[in-house]
Amino acid sequence: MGSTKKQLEQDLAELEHVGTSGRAEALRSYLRLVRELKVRDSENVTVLGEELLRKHRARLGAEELWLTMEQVATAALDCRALPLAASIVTQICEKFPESLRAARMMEMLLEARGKYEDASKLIQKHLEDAPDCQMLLKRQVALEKSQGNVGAAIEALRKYVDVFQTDREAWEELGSLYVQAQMYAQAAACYEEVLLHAPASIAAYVQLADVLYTAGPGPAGANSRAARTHYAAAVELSGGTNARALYGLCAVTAQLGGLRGAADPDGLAAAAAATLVQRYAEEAPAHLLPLAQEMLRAQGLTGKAGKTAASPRK
Amino acid sequence: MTHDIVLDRDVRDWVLVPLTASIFLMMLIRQYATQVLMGGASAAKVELKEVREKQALARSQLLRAAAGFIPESGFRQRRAYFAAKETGVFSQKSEQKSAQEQMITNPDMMSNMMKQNLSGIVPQIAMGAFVSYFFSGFILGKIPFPLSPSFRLMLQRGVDLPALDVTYFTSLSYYILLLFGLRGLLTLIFRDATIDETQMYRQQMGLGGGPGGPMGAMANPDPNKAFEAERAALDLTEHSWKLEGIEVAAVDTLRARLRAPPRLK
Repeated sequence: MGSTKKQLEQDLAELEHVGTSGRAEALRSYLRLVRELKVRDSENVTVLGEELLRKHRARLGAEELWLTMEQVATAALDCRALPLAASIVTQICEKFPESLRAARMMEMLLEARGKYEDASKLIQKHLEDAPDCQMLLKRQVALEKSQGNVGAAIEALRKYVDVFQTDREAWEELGSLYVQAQMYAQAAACYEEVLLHAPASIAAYVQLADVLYTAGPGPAGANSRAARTHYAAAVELSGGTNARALYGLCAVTAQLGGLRGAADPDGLAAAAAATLVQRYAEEAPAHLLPLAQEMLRAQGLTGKAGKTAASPRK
Repeated sequence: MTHDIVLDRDVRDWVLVPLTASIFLMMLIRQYATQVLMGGASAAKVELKEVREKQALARSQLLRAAAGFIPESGFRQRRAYFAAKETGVFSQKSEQKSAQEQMITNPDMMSNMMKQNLSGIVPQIAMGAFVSYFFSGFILGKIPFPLSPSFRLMLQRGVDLPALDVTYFTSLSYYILLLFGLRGLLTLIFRDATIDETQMYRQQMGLGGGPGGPMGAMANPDPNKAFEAERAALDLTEHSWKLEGIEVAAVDTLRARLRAPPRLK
């Protein structure tokens, strides 16, 4: 992640320095990089892509031209630069009248303009011919979501994952929708599925543990203990650098502590709290450290641990 | 041997040029004919139920591989979903038809195969006959580097002259060479849509091929059997909690980190 960001910044910096002669080439390479890395950098893409399409359109080959058009239109929709998006989408739809990909662009434009009825009709029309079009099925979910119908979005996405069961991102999205609907048991099931797909992903552990923790202790603290284990796994995988997992450990231990006496038999939460305090002392502005210590004390964790950890540093 | 053979100019005008042109034209015609004939076939519809069953198989394999990372209750739930006696996904009869059934019930497939064979083989035979009738027995040129005599069979088809130097090639060999060599040129003209002959041969040999092609379906074994096997494998899978003792490991990691010298800013 860090290296991709650096690469992008390098490319952007290069754009500042090249003269007008090399500019088209630099623009192209920047847009290509954004496409390949699949990052969301909509403002830059809109501005720079528009410039490329306006001034240097002739330099792009057919394939790259339409890829760029799609990219710039999507980015423009993201920034609500609707007139630009509309003009590009119209061109795309004229060039590829049959294409589902063009239909998706048109649907996104309609959605951005708030014409939800028309967008929905468009999706239905194309789904009749191609019921297995993943792009449009996903747009259907997004359409419901953008109207705020979490229930309907969940319903549509459930139908989608029932068929496309190995789509990890879809499970992740369904999990977050369930969290919005406060259906934590279902959300936990979704995040379990994400974990099955990527057992080496730190984020998957943290997400699942977050949901389990939010769901409450459960019968005899089963949820909390499972959350604690998954937070511990995230800490272990990240070597203690994942602050969210550390905070989670503290919180979930406090949750368990309300239930029974010895919630922290192995001293894990104390170690997590000490690590947090140490990191605040090293990396954060000075005024944040007392706040963090205060919070950890309220959870009954620092007192001794915080001091023992912090004192040798001074 | 030391003297070069002098070739008649008419050989160039009446053999080399027309032969090249007719091969190229034949390939163009074949390209368009295939596009017309196979037009409907490429957009074969994928049944949602089929996708669902294939993905269920893949997901169940994932579950078996990574079961130890989720809590046991979650694992049991999923196993029940896939492998329960009456209601599990794998206990249902598969909606996919096996290859033979598909052949019988779907006349489209038969005609598609016919079309493919027609467009592939018929012009080849016709062209072969045409070339060997009109253009056989000419020497067209000379390769600018020496070759061992074992290349005689390849380069001097249709001319049976043991005394002739191997580096001379004949019209029939030239035809065969062009038949395979011109594909690159066609790719330049048609980009992706070029018929890939090697691909087609591979499909006809039954060595796999695209999943959409009729031969791809043949390689597909009976889906009901795959379900049965996956169900048995799931039944055998035990949930062994892979995160056992992870808390202790995490404590060790954190303590080691706390003891480490402070990082420089």
